[in-house]
Amino acid sequence: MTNRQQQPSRRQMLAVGGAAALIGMVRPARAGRQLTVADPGGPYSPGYRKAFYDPFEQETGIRIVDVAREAYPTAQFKAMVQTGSYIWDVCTLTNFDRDILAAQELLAPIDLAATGDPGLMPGGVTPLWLGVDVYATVLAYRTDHFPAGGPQSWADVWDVARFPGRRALHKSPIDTLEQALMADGVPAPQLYPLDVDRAFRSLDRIKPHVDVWWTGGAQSTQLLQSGEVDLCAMWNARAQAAIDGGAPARIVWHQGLYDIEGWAIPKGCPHIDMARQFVAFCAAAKRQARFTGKLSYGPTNLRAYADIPPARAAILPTAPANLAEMAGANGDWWRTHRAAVTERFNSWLLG
Amino acid sequence: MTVLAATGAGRGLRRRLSRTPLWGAAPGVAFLAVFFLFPVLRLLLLSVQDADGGFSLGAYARAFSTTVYLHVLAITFAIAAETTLISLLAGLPLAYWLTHLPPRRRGPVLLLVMLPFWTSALVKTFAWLIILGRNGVLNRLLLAAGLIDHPLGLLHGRGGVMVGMVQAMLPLAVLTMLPVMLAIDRRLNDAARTLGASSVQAFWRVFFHLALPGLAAAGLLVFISALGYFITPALLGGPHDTMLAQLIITEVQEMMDWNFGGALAVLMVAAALLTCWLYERAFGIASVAGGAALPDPRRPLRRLGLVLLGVTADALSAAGGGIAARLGPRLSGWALPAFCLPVLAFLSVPTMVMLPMGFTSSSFLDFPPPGFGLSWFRMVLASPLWRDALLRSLAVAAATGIVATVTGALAAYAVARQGGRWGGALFALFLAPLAIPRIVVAFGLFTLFARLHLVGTSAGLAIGHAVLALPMVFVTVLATFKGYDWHLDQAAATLGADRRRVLVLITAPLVRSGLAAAFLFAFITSFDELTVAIFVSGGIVTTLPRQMWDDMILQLNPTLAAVSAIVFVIVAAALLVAELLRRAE
Amino acid sequence: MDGSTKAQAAGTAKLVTRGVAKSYGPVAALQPTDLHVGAGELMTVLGPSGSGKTTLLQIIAGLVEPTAGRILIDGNDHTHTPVHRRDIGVVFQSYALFPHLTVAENIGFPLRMRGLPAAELARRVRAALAMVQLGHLADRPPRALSGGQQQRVALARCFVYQPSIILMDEPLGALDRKLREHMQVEIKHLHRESGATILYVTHDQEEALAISDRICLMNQARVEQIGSPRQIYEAPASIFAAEFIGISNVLRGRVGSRTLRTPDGEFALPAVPGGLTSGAPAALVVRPENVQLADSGHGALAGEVVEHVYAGSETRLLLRLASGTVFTLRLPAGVPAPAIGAAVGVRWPDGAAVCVPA
Repeated sequence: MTNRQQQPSRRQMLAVGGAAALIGMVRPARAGRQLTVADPGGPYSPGYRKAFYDPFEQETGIRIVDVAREAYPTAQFKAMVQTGSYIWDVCTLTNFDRDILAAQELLAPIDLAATGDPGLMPGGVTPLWLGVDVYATVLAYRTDHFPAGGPQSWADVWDVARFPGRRALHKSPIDTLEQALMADGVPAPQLYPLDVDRAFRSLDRIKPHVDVWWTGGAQSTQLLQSGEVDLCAMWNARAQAAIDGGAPARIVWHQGLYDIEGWAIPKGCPHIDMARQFVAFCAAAKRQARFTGKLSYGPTNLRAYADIPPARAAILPTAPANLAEMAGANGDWWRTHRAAVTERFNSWLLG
Repeated sequence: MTVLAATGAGRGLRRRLSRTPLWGAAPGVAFLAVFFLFPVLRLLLLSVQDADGGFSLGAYARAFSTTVYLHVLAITFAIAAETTLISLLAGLPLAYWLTHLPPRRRGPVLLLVMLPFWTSALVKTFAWLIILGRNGVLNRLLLAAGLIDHPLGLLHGRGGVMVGMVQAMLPLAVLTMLPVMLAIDRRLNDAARTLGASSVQAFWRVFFHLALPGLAAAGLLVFISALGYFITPALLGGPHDTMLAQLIITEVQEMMDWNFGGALAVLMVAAALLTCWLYERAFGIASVAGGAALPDPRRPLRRLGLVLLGVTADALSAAGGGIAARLGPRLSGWALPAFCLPVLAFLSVPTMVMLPMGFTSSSFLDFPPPGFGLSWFRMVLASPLWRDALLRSLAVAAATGIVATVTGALAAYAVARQGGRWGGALFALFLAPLAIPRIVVAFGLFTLFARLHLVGTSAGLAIGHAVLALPMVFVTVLATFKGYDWHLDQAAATLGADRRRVLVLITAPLVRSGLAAAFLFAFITSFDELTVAIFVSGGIVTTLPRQMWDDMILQLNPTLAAVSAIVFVIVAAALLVAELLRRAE
Repeated sequence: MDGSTKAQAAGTAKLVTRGVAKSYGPVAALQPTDLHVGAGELMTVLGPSGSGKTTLLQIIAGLVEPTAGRILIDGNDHTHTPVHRRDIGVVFQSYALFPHLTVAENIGFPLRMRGLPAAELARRVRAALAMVQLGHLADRPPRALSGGQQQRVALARCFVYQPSIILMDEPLGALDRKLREHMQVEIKHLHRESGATILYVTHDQEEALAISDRICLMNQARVEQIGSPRQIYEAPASIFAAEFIGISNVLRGRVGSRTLRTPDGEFALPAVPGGLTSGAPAALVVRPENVQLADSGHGALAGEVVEHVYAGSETRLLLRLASGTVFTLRLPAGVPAPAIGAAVGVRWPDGAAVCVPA
């Protein structure tokens, strides 16, 4: 699956034997025709390898070394550019992280305009970033708890009388505030700018009925999988993992919020040309279609659906039927309001 | 020595220094100065800067402009304090019981106490989710037994946090207080009883008082360690169980506001240092090293502490006496094991639940496993990612062990030989990494390593882990030196050995069991370390805990259990080898 | 058992052990032991290390459970009474002073355990401190005191609550000789003043002789001989008793008809111990102070001077007899000693030698 032979070799690692070994443990210089890319790790690595890395290696002869990036790579990204110690050349970023880094001028242009693919969805490409996969925050519920049909909207989730059951929300204001507003009747296209006061008033109503505020993606899977909760606001792939594992659960695409993740290149990257070549390579519909076999994320190039079986497409956020039900998350609004709203959210949770 | 030479110290100074044993501390001092003091102080500097590097108190203004951060700090303190209290209350009888076991039996029981050390914090926390969940093992057992009608809500509240944190901290508490208790002269207990004290009274009036330094040390270590916790409260707690460390991680990693993150870290350090200071006033910091000083009753704070403890002891003594009288001598003899055995079970349950799940045929963490299969082990062992992570963890842990043991033991030697004012200062310095929450050290190292091009290197990991392991090594070796007969060194010197040869040929071999224990402590500290790994590894040099963490964020499957089983076997083997070496001695 | 019934009938026994024994698996730490300690008596339990004396003391104190036998105090069975209800005082060799309590608090500890009112407690602690002349150190921690002072605190802590029996386990073992002799006098004094019944364990035969009313001599986990210091010194019941206490000259041989035949000659026996038939191995014990120099020749034992040991008030002369046995005698100060290598003869008065089984 992954190819990490070029990392500090095992021989070096085993040669540890005192102070001298410390010198040997410092990272070796990277070889020339080789690109190091940081993906989110976990199931992404084999999915991306099949879709992008292996085909790229075959086509260009440039080796791709993939590493798992941090869950939140921005701090590392910043430190890397500021100190000029580049440990990778390309990295996946959510459009939210992209905006933070772009604002601090830490990204290099990807120069994709020339080869830009017409199939890319709106917001799927910027001068600094190419969106590759789409994930969505959706509602998922246990079908065994709601045999006669479960909640179909956030308003239903807020309606504890009609839909009794244990509920879990994300312990983060992002997405949760939008959900609260939609539950209060705000139509998805009119969410932004968020009416924060109204959102918190709405949250006040559901707060006593929230049994778990989850913090990690795997935790949300575990909650749904084990039946710890009956309804859960969560990422579609996390819900899909529970369903794939046999949990009686269903995803509700209606009123979902999607977000895009994609490649960016750190400013000052020593392999900028190869990096740009790689990013452009990942825009093609056929290549994006290949990762959807392993990952339940949607391709940004909507033409990819020509190569995706309908049964598989049904569980992907960018399948036309699903995408129509959802709205895009607005990173711009959050970038300016996140600190203050997070502070208020934390305070509200403790209150 | 090289450090001294490098700083260009004059010949005279060097000659003078070479005569004092203090030189032994030089490598450790230099190491801590560069990789601990400097980054932490830089963080302090960061907190009084704005985003462009200019002086600004904006971060602090923001921290105090709302009550939320003080509120979280208060919660952090409350959780740490509750964890400490429960760990001490459960640890005291357990340690006391251990002192009464014959040494041959004590060893195996101690290994059982240390069982939680062998399983990573992350895995233990997930094990609790599986045990305590609504459809978890415990609820299903209780329902099946007809003891309850509806599943109990055991998780997602303070109760769940306490279960997870006490289980993680109890071994530390017991291991810290045990040496002090073992050093107590058992005849004092006999004496108290011949003087008319019942065994309950003898315990509270004599043993308990003499064990106080150990209890106090255990309390401090647990408290400071608990301050920096974030995984367990996040997964097992409710909305009210937010810890400051979680906010610091969010600020640094998600918000990228290092200045504000720095300010929160400073808040945490200030709180930790205040605790240490109060502790020092009340009990004397030396007691961390095990049984050193009894409280000097002349200081007002100490007197207050002693009076409080005395009143508590009296009350507990009366209550204990009453219970013992009601139970009768036969039953009260069983009271201690009757309490300790369930505690031991509590400590080992998560491991016992997690290990079989590695052998599951399911693709989820289900207990009991629906079927037997080795596919997850095959997956882990076949995956270069996991294999590399395992090998790197072993190598980094070995390097950490060597670096920390050599520098820490030399420093302990210096302090044990020299004592006095300099000894006290060194003592404080080498314990300081314990007083600063890990998350702060990790963040500080991250900003430093970014400049030194050490982010994403195994050397960086080993350095960071050595900083965390040094206090453990120092305290362990110092305790060994307490019982050391320095006349042997003098004898060797009169027989013609110079200082270095005395150290290498006489001192080191005689304290080698202490050195081995210290190495093992450092090794395990590194092997199970996540916080520094998160910040420093850069995703490039993944260690086992880091790989588990990454894996857990994205997916949850029996890989975790399979890896835990492998780690369990490795650590068990290491401890077994250590035990065999000790016996061979 | 005859003795025990007699003692009990007389009603003088404060402490009686009947067949008390302790074994750890196959190892006997104490053979069945009968002991009778009279009220107000100071009995020492004397023996080498491993002779079972500390085990005996711990069983009486209740710190060790006996495998067999009973313990009677004032005629009542206390075999299974918990330690703290036995009303027995113990002075430990290590003093066992509580390091976290002051001197006065240490002494007050047993009174506190007995729930004495504060005023009464303070008064008795002051009195006890005065008794051992440590009133000025009342508020010091024990570790600030010298060894002798610590020992006096331990004694005061024991005497202060007037236990019916006081057990002392090598209480002076850690002190230097001069201090030890001083403390022996002090203990005798305290004993006389308090009238306490004391069982005193020591391995120091001089100490035992100096302070005891009676000595219980132990060896190899059993009682060897019980008697007054004078009885034990002057009439040892065994070679062990003779050699353990004081200096003895021992001439081994076999019993003849009212004589003992040894390689160094045949000696008339004033009395043959009961049970020793002709031909049985036995030994003649003569204390050095009873031996006088005599001209070598008829009736005298011949030997060669091999060493002088000067001891101020006397000089000890070591002779080697024909058989190779070393023989000691004492010359008072002022008496000139024969030169080393000189052939001399020794003799002793009739009745000065004791015959014991060997």
